[in-house]
Amino acid sequence: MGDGASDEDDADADAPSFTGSGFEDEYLERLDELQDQHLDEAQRKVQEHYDTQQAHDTLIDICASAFGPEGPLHGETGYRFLFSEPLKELGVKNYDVLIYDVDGPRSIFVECKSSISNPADVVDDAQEAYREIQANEDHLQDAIGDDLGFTEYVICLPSHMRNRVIRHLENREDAGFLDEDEEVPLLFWEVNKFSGQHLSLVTQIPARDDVDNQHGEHTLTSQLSDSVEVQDAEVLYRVYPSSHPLRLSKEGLAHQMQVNKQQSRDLKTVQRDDLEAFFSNPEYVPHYANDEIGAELAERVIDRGREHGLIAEDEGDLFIDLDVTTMKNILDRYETEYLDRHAEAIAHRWAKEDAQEEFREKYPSMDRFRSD
Amino acid sequence: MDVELFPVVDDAFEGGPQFREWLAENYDPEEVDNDLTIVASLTRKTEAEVLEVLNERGFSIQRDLGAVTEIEADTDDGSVAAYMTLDEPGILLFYTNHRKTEDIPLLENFIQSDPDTYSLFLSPYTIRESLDEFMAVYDNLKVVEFTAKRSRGSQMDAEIRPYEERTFTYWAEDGLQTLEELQHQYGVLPHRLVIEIPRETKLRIDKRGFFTYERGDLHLLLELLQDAAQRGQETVEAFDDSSFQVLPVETAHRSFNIPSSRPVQIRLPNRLSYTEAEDLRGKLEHEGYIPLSYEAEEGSLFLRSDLMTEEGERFRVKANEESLRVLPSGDGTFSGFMEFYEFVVDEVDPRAELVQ
Repeated sequence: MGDGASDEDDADADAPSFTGSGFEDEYLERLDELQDQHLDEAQRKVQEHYDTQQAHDTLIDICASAFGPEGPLHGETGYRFLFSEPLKELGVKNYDVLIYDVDGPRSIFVECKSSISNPADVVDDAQEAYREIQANEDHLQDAIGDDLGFTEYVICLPSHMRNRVIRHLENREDAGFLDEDEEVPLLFWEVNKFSGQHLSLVTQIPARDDVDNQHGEHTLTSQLSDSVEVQDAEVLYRVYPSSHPLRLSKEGLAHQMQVNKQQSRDLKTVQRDDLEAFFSNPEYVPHYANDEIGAELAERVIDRGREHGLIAEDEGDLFIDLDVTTMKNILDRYETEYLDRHAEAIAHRWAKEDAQEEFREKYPSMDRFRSD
Repeated sequence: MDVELFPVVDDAFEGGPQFREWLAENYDPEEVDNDLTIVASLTRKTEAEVLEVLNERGFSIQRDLGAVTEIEADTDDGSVAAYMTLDEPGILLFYTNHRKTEDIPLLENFIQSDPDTYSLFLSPYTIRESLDEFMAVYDNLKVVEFTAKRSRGSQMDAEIRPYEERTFTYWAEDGLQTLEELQHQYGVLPHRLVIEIPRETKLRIDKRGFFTYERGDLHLLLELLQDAAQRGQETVEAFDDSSFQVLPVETAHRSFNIPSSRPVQIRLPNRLSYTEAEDLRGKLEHEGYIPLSYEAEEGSLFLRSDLMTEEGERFRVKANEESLRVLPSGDGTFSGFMEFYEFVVDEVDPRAELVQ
């Protein structure tokens, strides 16, 4: 029976392999039950992830805006926001923001974290991304149009998460230094976005000496230690490359529908090149590898749309597959359906795992599941 | 044209204030059909630009009286004649004795459709305050007519069914006491008032920026107008301070264009709670705004939302408990901004005001 493919790997497996019996019905019934049970949790998780990614966008806003051309640090230091997600186009671990001072030259790479499941991952990822920067220095310098110069690496956290990560550093032999020679300390910024948007440097980390928690540039250290407030001006992008796919979809499709109106096309037309044009505009999505990022993000929007049955194809032409007619209703419905269908897919996946587990225990003689 | 425009001497007026002073001295309601209505609006256009657009809409200039322009339109959609002044910055006024329901819509249509112009709307809270100020001076003041409303999700105190959205229109001699009672019982604020001060004046103010004089001392109405105009100019200045620009940041071999937005800040004296921020999404959608993103977090309050209109205008809103900032993008208009500001006054905080 079967070709010996591992049933753990067979993610599409849906039903028992033997024919005839009532096992298939029993299995499918159980699958339905479990899916219903898991649905609430799946919905909660999907919403939470969406909210977390929006909070991540906000952190990037604040970091970038602090160093924006009309921001609070403009004129105080030479550091400027250049773009987001350096090296993302290579598909490697990367930081979220590059702040650059042409007078150094000096660079600061900032990683924003809006949720933390494991503080160890935060530091480990920062270390990996650091190694990627070392490995791709020429590529980066070409992107910047200048040398990296003196470089610093920062983790930016919401205030309420700060302590957890700082405490974690005490458990680490490397105390959050990025290299084995302990010459490159990972620095920490915190953001308090309530009652104003305040960005500050974390200067006291018990695991380390105070001198390791400062920027090389004294003015920056003193400005950020006192905290800067982002309020008189902000950088204003549509999305970031790391924005949630639903956010990317809403912005991309809103743009698409505006174009459709201007071109007197059907409102629900979806054209890959319109989406690519949108996502590769550096004033909408801050990046230097605009064409690659533009293509990647357009692809993501279309893929997810198709996966959730929201974008369909008719003779090679793509369109939004919803039966409402105004832009407002289309975008509104797109969001609800996207989140609902995504939750259903996750609930289904969990249910399948549980159901298969149950059936293996109940019918140990059955050695594989087959796909429908 | 069936209504003759009230007469104005063939003079060159120095400015709006001088014209209004002349009116206070010389306007005789006995000699004029209907009441004098001053339609107040805010504009970012110059006088020449306003006249150009009015011309496209069928208006022609009858006389040039210095700072005052007499205009007239006779179209299929109606006919109206008025005098116009533009007090910088931004106070565009039309003075007419044509009738509100039949003729004035031609002027209203211009104000509503022009992207650089918007009515000098009054907040119901301000109307209430003006009434209180008059009452303090004239203890025989009567309110003989009013319209008062409670908006959806209003946080004003109300004794009776606070969850209901309401409109009251009332005509009687005891309007003042009734308004107080309704305000207390139902949490409504006045949108329109007809005030009569015996032997002094009878006048009408309307939230949409209409100031109407029936008889008596015109100065009282002009005082109300002046207060509104002053607030209007502060609004215009606050808007003018906001901006959206794409600014270059240079390295040795490359240049990066960074979109930078300076916001208008709207202070919220009544404070915005997290629950209200959650409800705000529904209100925005009800009003026709499309939230492309909506982030509301508790602790105290953080709100971030990218909003778009069906016409494609966009802006970002960021708020905490005390204030709301409107960050303009490249595609926004003065009218679009004012529409949102009016929404905030009507639906979020009746005491909302722009910060200089």
